[in-house]
Amino acid sequence: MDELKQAIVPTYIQSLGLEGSLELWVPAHEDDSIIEVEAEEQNFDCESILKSELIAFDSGIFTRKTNLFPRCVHWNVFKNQTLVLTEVSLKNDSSCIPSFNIRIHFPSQILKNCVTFGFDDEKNELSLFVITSTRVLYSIKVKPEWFLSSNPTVDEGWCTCFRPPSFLTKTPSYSTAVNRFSLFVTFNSGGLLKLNTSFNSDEIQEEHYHDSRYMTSIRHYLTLQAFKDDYRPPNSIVSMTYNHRYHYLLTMSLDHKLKIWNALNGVLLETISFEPTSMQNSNALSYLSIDSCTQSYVSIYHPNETRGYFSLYRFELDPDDGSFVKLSPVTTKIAPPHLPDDEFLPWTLLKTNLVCLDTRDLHFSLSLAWKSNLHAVIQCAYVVPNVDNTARVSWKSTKKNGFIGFDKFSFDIPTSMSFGDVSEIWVNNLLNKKHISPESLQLALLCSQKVNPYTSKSKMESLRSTSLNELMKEITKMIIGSVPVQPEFGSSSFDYSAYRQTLYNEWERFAKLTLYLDSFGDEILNIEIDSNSKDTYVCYASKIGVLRQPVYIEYLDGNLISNMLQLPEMKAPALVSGYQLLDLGCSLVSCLPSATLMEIRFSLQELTKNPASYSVFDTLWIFFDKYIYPNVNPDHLKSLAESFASRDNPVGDIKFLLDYIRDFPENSVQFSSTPFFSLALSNTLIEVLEKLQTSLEALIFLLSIACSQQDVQLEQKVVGSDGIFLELLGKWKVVSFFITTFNLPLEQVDIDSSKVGDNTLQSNLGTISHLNTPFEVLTTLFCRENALSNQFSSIQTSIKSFTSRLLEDSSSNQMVSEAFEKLLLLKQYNVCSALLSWLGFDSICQYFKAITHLGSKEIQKSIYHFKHANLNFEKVDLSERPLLKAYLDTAKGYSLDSHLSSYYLHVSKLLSTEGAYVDALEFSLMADAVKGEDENLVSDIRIQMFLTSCASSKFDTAYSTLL
Amino acid sequence: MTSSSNSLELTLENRPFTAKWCPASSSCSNLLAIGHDTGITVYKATEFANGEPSMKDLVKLYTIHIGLPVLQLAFSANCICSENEKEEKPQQDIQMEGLLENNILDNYTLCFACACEDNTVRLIIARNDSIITQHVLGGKSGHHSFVNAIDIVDVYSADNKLAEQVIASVGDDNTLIIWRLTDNGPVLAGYSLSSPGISVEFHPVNPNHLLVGEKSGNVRVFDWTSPPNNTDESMGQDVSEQVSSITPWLYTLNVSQVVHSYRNAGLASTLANARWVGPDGTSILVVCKSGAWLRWDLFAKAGNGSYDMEEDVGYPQPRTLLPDHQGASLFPTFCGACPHPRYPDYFMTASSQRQGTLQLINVAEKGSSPNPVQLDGLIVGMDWHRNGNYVAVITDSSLYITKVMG
Repeated sequence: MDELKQAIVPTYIQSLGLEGSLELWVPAHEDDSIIEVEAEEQNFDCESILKSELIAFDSGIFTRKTNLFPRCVHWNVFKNQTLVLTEVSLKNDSSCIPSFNIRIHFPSQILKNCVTFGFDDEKNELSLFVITSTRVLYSIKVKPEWFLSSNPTVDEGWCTCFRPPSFLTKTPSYSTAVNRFSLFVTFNSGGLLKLNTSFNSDEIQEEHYHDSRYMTSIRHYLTLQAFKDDYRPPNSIVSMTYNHRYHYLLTMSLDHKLKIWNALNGVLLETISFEPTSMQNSNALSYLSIDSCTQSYVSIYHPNETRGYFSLYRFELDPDDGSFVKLSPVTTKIAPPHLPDDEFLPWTLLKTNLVCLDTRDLHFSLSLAWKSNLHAVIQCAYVVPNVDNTARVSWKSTKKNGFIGFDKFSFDIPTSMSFGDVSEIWVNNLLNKKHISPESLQLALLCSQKVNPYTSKSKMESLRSTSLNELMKEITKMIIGSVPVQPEFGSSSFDYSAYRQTLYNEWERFAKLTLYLDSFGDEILNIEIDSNSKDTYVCYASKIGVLRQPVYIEYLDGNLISNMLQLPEMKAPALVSGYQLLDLGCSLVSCLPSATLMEIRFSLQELTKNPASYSVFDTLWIFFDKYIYPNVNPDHLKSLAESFASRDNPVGDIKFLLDYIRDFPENSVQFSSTPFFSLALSNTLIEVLEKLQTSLEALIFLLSIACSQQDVQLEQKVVGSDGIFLELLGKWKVVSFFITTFNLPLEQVDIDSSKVGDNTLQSNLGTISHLNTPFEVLTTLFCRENALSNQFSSIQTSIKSFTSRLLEDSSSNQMVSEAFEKLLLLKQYNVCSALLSWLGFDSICQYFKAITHLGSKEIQKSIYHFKHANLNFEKVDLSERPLLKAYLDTAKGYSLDSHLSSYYLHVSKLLSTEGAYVDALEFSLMADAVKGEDENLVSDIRIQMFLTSCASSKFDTAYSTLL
Repeated sequence: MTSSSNSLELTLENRPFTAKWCPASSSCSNLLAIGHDTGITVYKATEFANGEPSMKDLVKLYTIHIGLPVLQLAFSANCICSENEKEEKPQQDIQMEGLLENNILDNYTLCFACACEDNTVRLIIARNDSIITQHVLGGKSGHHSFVNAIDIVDVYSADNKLAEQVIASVGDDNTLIIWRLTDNGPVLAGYSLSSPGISVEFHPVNPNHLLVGEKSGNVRVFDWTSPPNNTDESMGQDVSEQVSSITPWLYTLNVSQVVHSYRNAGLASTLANARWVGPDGTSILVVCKSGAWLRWDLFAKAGNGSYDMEEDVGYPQPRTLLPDHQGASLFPTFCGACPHPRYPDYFMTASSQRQGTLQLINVAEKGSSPNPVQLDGLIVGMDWHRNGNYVAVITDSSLYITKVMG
């Protein structure tokens, strides 16, 4: 498939799993007051707040190859003169879990393209260079603990400011760091400068890099064009990149000359002229990209009338002394494919990134970020050069409008309360869309409240620390408070029907406003490839994306069949037929009203809960008769049935399709992830699971139609439908279970990590403490990476392994109870209480239900389930159950014939811990009634009986116990 | 049994789960039914000459043995007391026997709706300790999980005859079931909820309206008489059918406006119960397990809190569905609120953390009485006597009748 997808995470503190921010103010430079800064009109209306506070105008990712912390730093620049740094590694190599981001406030505006990082891996030191509009250079020593601690040490000399002499007359346009102390700076009016700072000193040295003689420069200025305000000399540098490995600086100037400099001595090594061309519609910074992995290759972009083309070069070095020889072409004329609507939309190439995937067989990945107004497209090329400087190139790209459209929000006003009323469904819809920035919601709330412009800024700041759930409560309160219920004409009652419609409309308005405000955050600003993990980050104005390949179940958008048939593996007829059946089923799903779909889901859940009392074919017929037949056009039903009947073995095709979608990666292991990874994974996995749920429903509907037609031809084709239906229902159950956990809130509970008893949970407790929903927790605990040596952890592998596990034949109940157990170990009793109906009826599930009720203080219900659980470790394998570890360890100490008694004793102790002494006494009496000859057990039971009878004031029983 | 001037304590033989005063007027008003391990035991408080109950003597009348724990109980107002001509005993013997069983002077025909441990809902008509009629709603047609709340209402025809009895129940299976017992047989209607149903109550004046509280914190008012699309009334006594109504839901009140600083976010909006308030049901009181409470005065007139359509211009005024009052009790509660039958601003709540602690809250003052009442044992249920002076409280082993007001 040629489509790319993204995992999106808003750059909001809680969306990133952070606890808060470290606020730093850089010292003002002594000359700051001299420079007249244009006083900007202080507008505090919502739009100005949005543009200055919430939407970044410059962004990027700094990554380094080592496993030191911080390894991937995302930086955002805002118009309110703030630079925000956030650690966004996907893999937890250093055992450091970032809890804070850093907000650095500057006294003047930060210049675009003038933020750069210098590092020293040997000493694990990181510096940040920032140039502001008052032409002051700030050098900031970034410490790892700033990301980790709420009260870190900030040394006095953490920030040094400089005013290089050259900055007095020229405005910097671009900077790139060499190391912690040096950086290169170019100027709008031409010139290249290397600035060298020193440790613990305010001194700065300048080294000017010249490529031409003095008179040549003068001649440039003595032309008519030089009198224009926007004049730039032809040798002005428009693109610059630094090779950290060989210490070369590559620059591209306005006259399309590529120059290679030795950064150690300033010597110009080579100049290569390329054919001149117009460059107005491209961001020149995108022209050069050095391979971030090996630093041995460079890609050069050549714009032309269409989309331009790329060429790859290699740094050829002298084998004896390692000195630069020349740039050798590897491949030329890599032309990007068409962009969406490029006849009408002017696309600008924003950034390119090159990475060498394999040095032996020489494969490259070239990523391009195209931008048109608020649209963005990322294209990725997989390049395999040939000997003759050509290359085999395959392209993939994201869709133009990758974010949610408003049409996905609308729904019918519900007639049953199985999924809630108007406000509840809207809240779920808005919460479900995790890539909507919470700041957009906050701002929409302020706009809707018509907050006084002078107070909106401070209100915005107070909202910043609000959790998403609290924010939704505020929004719900505001909307409900703005919609009055009117009395019904001629009646003493209210017109509730009109009220619900008005309420729906108000929510719709709010949602549209939120989406509108959020769309400003869709502007793409940068892309960067992590040289370690090869993941591609996409920086948007208020979000971060991570590119990924789609999984099979996502190939339902767009031109399904033609896309399917392009794949080599799709030549299998059964698979093609399976996908075609899936497509038919999805067309049926899209016909059904949303209210009916909700009722169907409720009904399907009922089917999974209760043992079947009808035959499967009768169940399918009832299903068809109740939900499908009344809501679908008979002609459509007929055509679906005929399509089903036209296949040779439709049931077999569906099975083949499920096996194909399952596609389990064989070598996968669990790993310790970062909160950012967990959040990115969960935000994208929910979309995958919803598609999977829809697909399973589509197949179920199709089966119900096929099994309900009185057609001799169809009757032969539906043989085996009962088995496939039960299989689909089981898979639907586990998928829906996980989807249900998405909007439930996590409780703040103190967990004693030494008593957790689950290795996976223990190793991820640091990450889990930063997560907000059970879904994020469970996906973290279940995610796995490909264990092959050259395959690093990726969101895609985790998605595939997770969805594959969901679809495994026998794992549906197993996975649900395993997930449930993990939530119980985390003491999330309210969450478990909401998920009880998904558990099965075996003894372990009964035990889990009992523990849930006990944790929720519903003692009688817990007793009911404890009695039905009746755990017998001889008959049921409890060894893989961390929650039962304590019971198992104790029970195995008693004799084998007294398992029931030991179980009752265990329950009695559990009830005692919750203060239910009367019931605890009852269980201890039950234990006493069935105890064997084990003296230890007898003694323990007697002790428990005495304690519980005293606690429940049954002193006569206590006395009897003593006797 | 121990008693003081303000309270009476009675140790119970069976584990109690629920207690209800009989809502009927006249001779049955001092009857107290307690659902317990094996059935329902009926007690009677003796009366002063002015009809006020005296809590000094609480007489155990009889036990209706059902054979199952009765977890929820609702008294029908259709209860009758008639004199028993056969069992007449000298007054002094009655006083001497005190709490002994079989001390029955009168015949009581009582009607209960109860929810039992086997997840069945039962309508029981008993004459004294004998069950005359028992209708059982269960199996495939009933709840598939725990029944959390139940209520019953008697519907009379235009000629003041009892036309039908309607039982509403909610449970952990996310279902509300309306069971109508008519002369033509039982009719069932099941409605799905978005989360487990926690409380259900018919409107005290307009029995068409049903207040349903869900665990997630949503409270819905439901008109169970709105004409369904495909109603099917069964003629048989045992046959029941589930039907779906089209738009029976009137409106939803959301407790998510509760701004909580409670650490346990899940507990903050988890509902304890929802009740109609006031003799005319002009307000709705909702209490969360965190102790937070909210009240909506939907039909209350501004000022005195009761709405009289005849006095007013004619129609209710436009308003939003935000709560009119809200506050928090001193402690979390699982029992929820027990509104005062006569003073709508007052309600009682019991702590789930500090065993035996009762708190009387005044909505108007947004606070509570400074001295909570302290009893022994974990409180599992309570109910106000209709005179509003006494409240019956049951713990896991005892019954308390406590004077709280008056």
